[in-house]
Amino acid sequence: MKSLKVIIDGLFRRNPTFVLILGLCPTLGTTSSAITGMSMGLATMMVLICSNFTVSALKGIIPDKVRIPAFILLIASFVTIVQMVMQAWLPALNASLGIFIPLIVVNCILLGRAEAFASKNNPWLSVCDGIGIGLGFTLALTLIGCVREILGTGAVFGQQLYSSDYGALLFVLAPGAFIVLGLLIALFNRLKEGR
Amino acid sequence: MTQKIIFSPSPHIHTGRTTGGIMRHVLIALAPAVACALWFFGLPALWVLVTSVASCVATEWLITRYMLRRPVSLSDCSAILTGVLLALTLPSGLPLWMAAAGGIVAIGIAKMAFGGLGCNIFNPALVGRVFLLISFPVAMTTWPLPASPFTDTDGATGATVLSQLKMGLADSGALDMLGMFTGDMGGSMGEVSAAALLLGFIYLLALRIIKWHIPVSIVAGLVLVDLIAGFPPLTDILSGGLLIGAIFMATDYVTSPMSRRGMLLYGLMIGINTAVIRRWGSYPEGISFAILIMNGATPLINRYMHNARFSPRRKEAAA
Amino acid sequence: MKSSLRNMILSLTGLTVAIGAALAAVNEATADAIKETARRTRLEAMEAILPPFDNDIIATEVQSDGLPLYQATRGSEPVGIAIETYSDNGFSGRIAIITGFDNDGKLTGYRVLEHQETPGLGARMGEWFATAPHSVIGSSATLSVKNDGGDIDAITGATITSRAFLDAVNHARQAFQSYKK
Repeated sequence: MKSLKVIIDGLFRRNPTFVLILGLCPTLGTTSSAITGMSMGLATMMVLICSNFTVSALKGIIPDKVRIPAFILLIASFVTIVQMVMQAWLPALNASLGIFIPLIVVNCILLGRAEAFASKNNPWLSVCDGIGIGLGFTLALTLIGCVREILGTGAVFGQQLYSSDYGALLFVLAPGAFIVLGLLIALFNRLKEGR
Repeated sequence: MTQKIIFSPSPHIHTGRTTGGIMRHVLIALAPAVACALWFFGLPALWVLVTSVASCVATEWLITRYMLRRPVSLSDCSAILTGVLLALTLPSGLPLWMAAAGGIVAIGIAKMAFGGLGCNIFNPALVGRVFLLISFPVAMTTWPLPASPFTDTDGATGATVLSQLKMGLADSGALDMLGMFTGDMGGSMGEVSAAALLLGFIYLLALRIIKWHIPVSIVAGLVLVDLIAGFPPLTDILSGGLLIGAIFMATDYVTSPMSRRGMLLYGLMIGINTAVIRRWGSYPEGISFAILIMNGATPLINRYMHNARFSPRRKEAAA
Repeated sequence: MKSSLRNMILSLTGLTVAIGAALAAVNEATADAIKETARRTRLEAMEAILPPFDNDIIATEVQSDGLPLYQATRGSEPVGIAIETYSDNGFSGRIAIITGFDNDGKLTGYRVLEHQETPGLGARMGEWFATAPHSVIGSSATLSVKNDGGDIDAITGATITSRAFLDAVNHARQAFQSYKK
């Protein structure tokens, strides 16, 4: 029961993008379309689950003073593994996410969850937290990606809704990311208050 | 105790000037430029103007009425002014739905999202224009050439003086300066006639709505870079949106510095930025970006260059 | 856990060794697949831009004018040449393309390999220069955009990208000519 609550919390009450406002670099950089946003979210979730689990499992043998380098070491190696796997078997995805995969390492969500949750809870709950936060991140990135893709190119997940002649390029570019993120945070806050 | 004693903080003397009054004067000052736009570009220009104003006013009304649930503040004319300014920075042949989208972004995102009139960091009309320029670069750089007045013809289109210079097509010596001064050149609706804009400038100066500092220092900054880099300054001043930007956009009370020293620095930086973007940037025109950049720097300028009257140091000295 | 120098060194060393081993294993498992994927992407591009060929084209790589050049043959008869070329004068950084030429130096096709151009503007170069009336395919002369006195329509709103693109193609043509000499 508690594990379910941890997952739901990660999706909404502790949503990394809309509530914790963490990991904005990949959020702004990879959401130019729904599919890249979602892929980035899922890749981050994979790393997050693995790192949360190992951090939690190893918390008994990692001395306090070196815990941060140890966490970074773990996160970096999982990122490298994800990157190699993508290069090998998902080249198209690798091409579109490009430099953002290595940047998962410096995504503060990962270190933040390792420090704030995984190092204080058991491995099972930490995995749940990884799933919840990861899903929350994926949800947020997909949502931002959808809005930007629809407004920018008139398509969503590559499905053309209306002619791309009516798409406002700004939303595909960086300023659009900031505007859409700001408006979605406002909407999220409004919904939270309304509840 | 029959008499009421009212305590209130300063200011105690009111000039009788209201926001709405100032906005109306600026609108009057824009009248020559609007008239020129209609004269040179005919009916399409009128439609763009009407659409842009209607979209700004409607957006402001909808947001204040239904999202903020505040009393509607349309009477201060600021939405109308934003709409007119936005329209004057657009090419007259722009599809009307784009003009409407520009109005929605100008009011909805640049103004209301920041808290409405007086709270916006960036000039709403310019945000609307830059939004359109980045979003629809092709439509925003298709400039109908001035045609015979009040005909609804599908006139010829051409590059502006600036883009011709940028691509090295036109020889700057061969340009028709008189035509550029009166407005006989391709460009956005309101930027073509320097004469009409200067008329508005004189009106605003005479009524002391704006001070001379910002527009003059913008031109000075531009000429400075031109002289150093060896470009003809007069062409640079008369072409593109420099004058409409310097006179009507950069001087917006909300987004420009308060002290005179601050105004001079702000204007100078806009002029320099504009010249740099025009010469070495990837867009042919840079005034809108330059003003927006300096809008962002305005709080900082205000922080370090305030009027002595409001200076915290002076207060300490007095106390 | 309380830290002491001993357990800090031990735990970090242990962790590093374990992770190093894990990474080595994954690298071992994926290295061939990564190489194969890269090769296949390149090969698919060449098949798309060249007349049909049947040799192992990637093995024929030589340098010409500083660009990698590949000779395509069909039954030992030369049918075309693929050249990887680039320009650093794009709107935002490098534009890398691969171009195909037939034996007479006619451009048979191109593929954009790498670019950071603006979506909707410069990024349209992939289709723009392959469709009439602004197609460059079939041309056998040095190309330039109309603004520079040439006869190719620049991408609307993206003259700089167009210039850089044609630069890259022209560079490839030079490489082709000096290889033929």
